[in-house]
Amino acid sequence: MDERLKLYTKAKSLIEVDNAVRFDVPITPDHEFYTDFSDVRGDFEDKMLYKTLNVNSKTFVFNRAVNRGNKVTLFLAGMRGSGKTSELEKIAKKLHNKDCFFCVTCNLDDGLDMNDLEYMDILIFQLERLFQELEKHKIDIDKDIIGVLQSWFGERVKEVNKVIKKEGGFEVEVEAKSPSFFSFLSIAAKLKANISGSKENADKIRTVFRSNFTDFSKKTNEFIEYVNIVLREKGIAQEILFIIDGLEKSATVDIRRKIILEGSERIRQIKAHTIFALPIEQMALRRKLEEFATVTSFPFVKIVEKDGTIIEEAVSRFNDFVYKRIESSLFDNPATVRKAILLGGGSPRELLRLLEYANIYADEDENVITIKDLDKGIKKLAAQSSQYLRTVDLTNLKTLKENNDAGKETPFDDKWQDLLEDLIVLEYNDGTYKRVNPIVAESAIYKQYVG
Amino acid sequence: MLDNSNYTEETKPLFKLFKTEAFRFVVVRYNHYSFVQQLQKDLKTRFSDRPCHIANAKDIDYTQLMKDYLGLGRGFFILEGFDDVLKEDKVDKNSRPEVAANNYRRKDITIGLNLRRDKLAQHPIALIVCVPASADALYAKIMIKKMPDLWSFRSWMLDIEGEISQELVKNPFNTEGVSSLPKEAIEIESDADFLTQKQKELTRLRASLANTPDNEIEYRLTLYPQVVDVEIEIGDYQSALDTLDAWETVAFEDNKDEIWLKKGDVLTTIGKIEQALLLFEKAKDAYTKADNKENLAVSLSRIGNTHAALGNLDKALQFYEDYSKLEKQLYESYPNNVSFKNGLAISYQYLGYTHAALGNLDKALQFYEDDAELTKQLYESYPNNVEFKNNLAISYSKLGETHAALGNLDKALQFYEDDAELTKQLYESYPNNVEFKNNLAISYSKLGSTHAALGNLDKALQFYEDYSKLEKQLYESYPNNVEFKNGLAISYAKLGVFSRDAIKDKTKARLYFKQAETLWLELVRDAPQYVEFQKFLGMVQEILKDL
Repeated sequence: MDERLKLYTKAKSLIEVDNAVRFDVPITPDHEFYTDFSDVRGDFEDKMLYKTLNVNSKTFVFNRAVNRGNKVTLFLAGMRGSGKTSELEKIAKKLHNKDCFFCVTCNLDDGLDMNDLEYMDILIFQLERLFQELEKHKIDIDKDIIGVLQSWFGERVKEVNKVIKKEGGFEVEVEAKSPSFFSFLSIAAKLKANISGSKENADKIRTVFRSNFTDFSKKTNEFIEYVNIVLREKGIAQEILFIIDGLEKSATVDIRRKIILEGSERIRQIKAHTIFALPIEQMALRRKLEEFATVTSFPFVKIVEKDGTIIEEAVSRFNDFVYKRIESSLFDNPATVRKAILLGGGSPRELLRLLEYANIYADEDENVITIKDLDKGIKKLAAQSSQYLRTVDLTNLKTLKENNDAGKETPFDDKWQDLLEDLIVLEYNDGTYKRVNPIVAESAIYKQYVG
Repeated sequence: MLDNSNYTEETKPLFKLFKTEAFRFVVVRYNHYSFVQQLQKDLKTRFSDRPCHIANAKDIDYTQLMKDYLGLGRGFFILEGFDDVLKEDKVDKNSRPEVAANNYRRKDITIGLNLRRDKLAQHPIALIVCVPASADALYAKIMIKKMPDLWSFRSWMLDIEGEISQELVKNPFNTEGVSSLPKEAIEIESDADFLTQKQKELTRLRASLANTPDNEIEYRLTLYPQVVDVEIEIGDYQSALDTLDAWETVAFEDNKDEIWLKKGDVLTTIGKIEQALLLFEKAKDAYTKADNKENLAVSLSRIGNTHAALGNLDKALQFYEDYSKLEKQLYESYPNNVSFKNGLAISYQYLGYTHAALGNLDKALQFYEDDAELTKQLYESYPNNVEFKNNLAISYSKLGETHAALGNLDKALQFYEDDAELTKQLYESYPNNVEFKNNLAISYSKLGSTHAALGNLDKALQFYEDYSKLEKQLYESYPNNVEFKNGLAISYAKLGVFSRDAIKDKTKARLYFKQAETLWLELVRDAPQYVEFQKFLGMVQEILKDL
């Protein structure tokens, strides 16, 4: 468990609420705050995800005999704050067993420069993380097979240095060492440091790896399959599963699109089961991705149907979510919590933000959050959110409302991208059900233009 | 090899001597360079497990020489042009500083080798120094004087001679002392290292395959493609085909298309293009069924290439058009995808090639210009990308060809020079890449033809010689590769045409044409489907009749 999570405890007084509504560290399934929303996410069902991975959703046993020739690449596309990371943590925990997978989670923002990121960097990071996990679990891997990968990396570094030397730059310093986890990790660390530390060197390293990608993929695939055999022999797992999270934290939409689009041909060459958390705006590339992967939407929790009917089961789950963090006695009335839940729009993170704002307006001496405090918080947040709205956005939001009122679907197209990115619009089910963020709907400007 | 030579007689005891791996110092005197080449070839064949390093004493300094020698560890270290280090140029106040520097370099080598004799002898390496008959008649005496200790270690001296005409002694193939290539280009030292490394990797991969139980299919499937790649890289095409067969028997049904494409490529390389065509078509059907547009495009381009090689240009054009259409669709759907942009550019290149072959030069030029425009954009966006750089060089070459055919020789020359510059940079960066080496050879050929047409005969000869030398190296390294064999034959034919038309030497021309004819006869025998080989054979036989 992340050390920071240990500080997250249930608030018993207003002064503790601020800490209890933090959302900067994803909650893991073993934490007291964890709430499983998987059965209230509309069309999304986690058992489908397990099925895609050929895993029995009850026993969590991987059926290796099925579709043996192909590895599963799964993109889990969801909006920021929809709970992807927590869901992935849950999946990893359930699948990490001797009859299933050896899960290797790669949180990109922990290890890479998010301002300048390419798929090649991710793949090197995946290998680094795999080595770290093998070392952590004390799984011995034959030195010869490590040596193959290590010497391949060594050759590429030489190639990179040749180019750098020609231009008089600072070479990547890698010492020749005998093959081991440690020496491979030190090469990976050097490469990563050079990719993050110098734009010039980053370009050269990536170009060399890109130019040799077919070879790289073959060596990587060999290593992965070798490790799979070792995992089976030692009764640790059946195969490796990479879980790659944090792509949405990369600096720009363009970086993300480049990784997904340009990297897709390379991603498909790597033969390992992999789940990528996909930022929602990249769903536009769905058709391209579906040529080699499964794309699953990970929507917000649906608390209101298109026709306005409230889904009580979902509201009830959010009640659990709130009361796991904050003592019920700290609210003046359950209706205050209900209002906050409905205005949260099915996004756990938006709800926590709303509670955070309400708490700011609450009187500590009273030691209670009232409906008035919540309203003030809503007003403040609504004003902030509506600042991003352009006239054209309001026109689109009007169309959206009309479609929803008429029970029609609103398909994805480019005009929704910014609105989804900025959480002006929230998405449910498979993406065809969109709704304005209830907080935005509270703003004066929205009311004026859309009604 | 030349007739009536004492080569066999001279080398027989030498090969016997080499059976025991130990330090040897051997001096080879020869009256034709082909004997040195034959010796190199024989050493590689007879002692295939030993690495062979070849360097030219004219281009190397002592430090590099020792570094290469010690780095070799064992095997054969062949030092050509050794007569050069025995020389000393006159230096006076009017001499250029380079002359004195070169004298020092020579002295460093002779003194250094002599002083480090014991160090040299610690390694089981046969140090073979080659001295042409044109060297000072008393070369041995000079050697004794300059390096007495090493001389005392000599194991064998050969004096290989063959009956050759005076013209042949001056044969442009005797490339000693004539080379505009970078040092790396005339050495095949890195080839030897490269082959050793590849052989080692092949042994490892084969051992892994042998040691992996049959039921661990996924792991085995990561090994087969690597084994095939290495076998192709070292030119062992038959083994590659065998491995592909073994791979196909265990591959999952969905992945067999990749094997068919690969097998088709290997069959094409060894000239069995009709068999290749069947496999490309099989792959195309699989990709069509799976609606895999990207790979479908690849299979269409391969089918187009095969029809072009079979001489069915109309059919080739049809497949290239389908290929280009698909690439355009992909690129238009994903304009930011550089791979699709590159694919579209290549498809334009193929269309240009076919139109040029059909005589539609204006259309060809248009396609080549479209190709160059896209490729230039890609290269400018990714200047370190080797593939884009290589493609741009090819684009320039194609534009040069078309302008030459249209009679715009100055424009053609400019494009050929741009092509040669990029290709040379690539080859210098990747000396083991046979594609870049072959492309450099071709670019020299084009420069040779253009200079010949412009009347710059010295330059033309220089380029033709460089061209032929590289083609010979490629052919010798990959004797089963029909493209390289054809390239060597073309280089002989070009030298023949040049000797006949430019320097009016019919005897020399006949000799070249004869060498070309021999190679094309073999090619037509081994790969009868290639219309190009038949066409060239017919052409060269016609020329020989007229000479």
